[in-house]
Amino acid sequence: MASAGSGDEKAAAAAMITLISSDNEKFEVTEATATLSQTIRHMIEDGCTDGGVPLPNVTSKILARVIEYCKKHATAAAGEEGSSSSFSDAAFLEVDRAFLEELEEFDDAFLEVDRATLFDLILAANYLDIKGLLNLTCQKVADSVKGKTPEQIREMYNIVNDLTPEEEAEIRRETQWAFE
Amino acid sequence: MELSPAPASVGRWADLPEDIALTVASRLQEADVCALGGCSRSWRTACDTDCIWERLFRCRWPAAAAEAAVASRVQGWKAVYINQHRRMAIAISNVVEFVERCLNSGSLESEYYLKAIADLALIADIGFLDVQFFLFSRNHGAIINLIGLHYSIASLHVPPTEVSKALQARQVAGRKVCVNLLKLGRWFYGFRLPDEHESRKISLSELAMSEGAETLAILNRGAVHEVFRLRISLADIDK
Repeated sequence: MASAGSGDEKAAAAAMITLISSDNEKFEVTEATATLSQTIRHMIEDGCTDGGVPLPNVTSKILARVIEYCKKHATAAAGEEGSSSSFSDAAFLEVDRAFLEELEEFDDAFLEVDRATLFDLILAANYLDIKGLLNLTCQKVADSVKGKTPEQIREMYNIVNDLTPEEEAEIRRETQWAFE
Repeated sequence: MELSPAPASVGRWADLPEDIALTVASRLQEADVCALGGCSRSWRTACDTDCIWERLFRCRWPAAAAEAAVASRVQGWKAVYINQHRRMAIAISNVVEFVERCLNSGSLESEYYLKAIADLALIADIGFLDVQFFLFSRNHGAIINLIGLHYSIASLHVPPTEVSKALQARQVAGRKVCVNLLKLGRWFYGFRLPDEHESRKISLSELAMSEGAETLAILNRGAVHEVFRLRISLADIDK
């Protein structure tokens, strides 16, 4: 986080950025929301956001969801900064905890999507370089894989098995130790 | 610019960018990494990567990582990991075999029990994951599971809740053992009363939690003071 003066911070929070999805839909967001994306942050720093930021890799459906995530987490980040600068007495900690819980609930609800959407969210988070969202979505995939067999994982994610039977046998031999 | 919206995600997960595949794989434990690597060629490549196995190695055997790093330059981290796993398997199975030799019609005297725990402590780099792999296995009896539990709590200082979770995950938490204590009979107006026999049946999950702390302390002490004989046996008629 850039530690700009509080005056600059307020000015930045008020500035609006226009994001343009691949299907040409425009979304107006605050700079604080947009800069959760490192990709957009760099664009702003380079001063090339006038007239909107085209995002040719992200559809409006996915962009809307990504913005929903960023808005929620931008307020969370702002709240955190606010509380860390003041005395961290019990009341503040209480508020913090409630807020974190709410954020966790939001994240859980946010991940209630079908696998195709999850896939698109991962690609968008990767392209826009939103660390939190990428972690969240990859964790979701990782959790869904836990305890599954290769066959189950393939079925779940429609992964085409391009391994030859010989390769499969080799993998089975190689990895048997992990399943004993 | 955009390709077809692809409503059915057929085949799309196969062309996940490699760095994302790595991010996913780096959040998994060894068995899941192996399963994921068995899905397709691209997942196999991602799951065989050095960084995945280096992380797993460092997490499981932090103290051995520096030495392993040298070997990994030649063999790669996956091979180094599997070699270390095999070494652990042999060292721990020696202890398991010792216990099995000492079993007398299913019962183990406390001195052998404590010797097994002391032997485990002599194995270099042994950690909680090794215990889970080799001692919490369903292929072994509840007494071996108990030795792993006792070693984790008393020597590795793993929090009991973690031990309990691991027992659940390996599906041995419900197994029961019987701790038999023989106590010297007390003196009563010049007569010695008969020796007392006490046996406690307790499940492994109870032993890991607070209700088992006292029993665990007795096991830790062995046959001393008023208890002159301490044996551990199986309590459940296995289903």
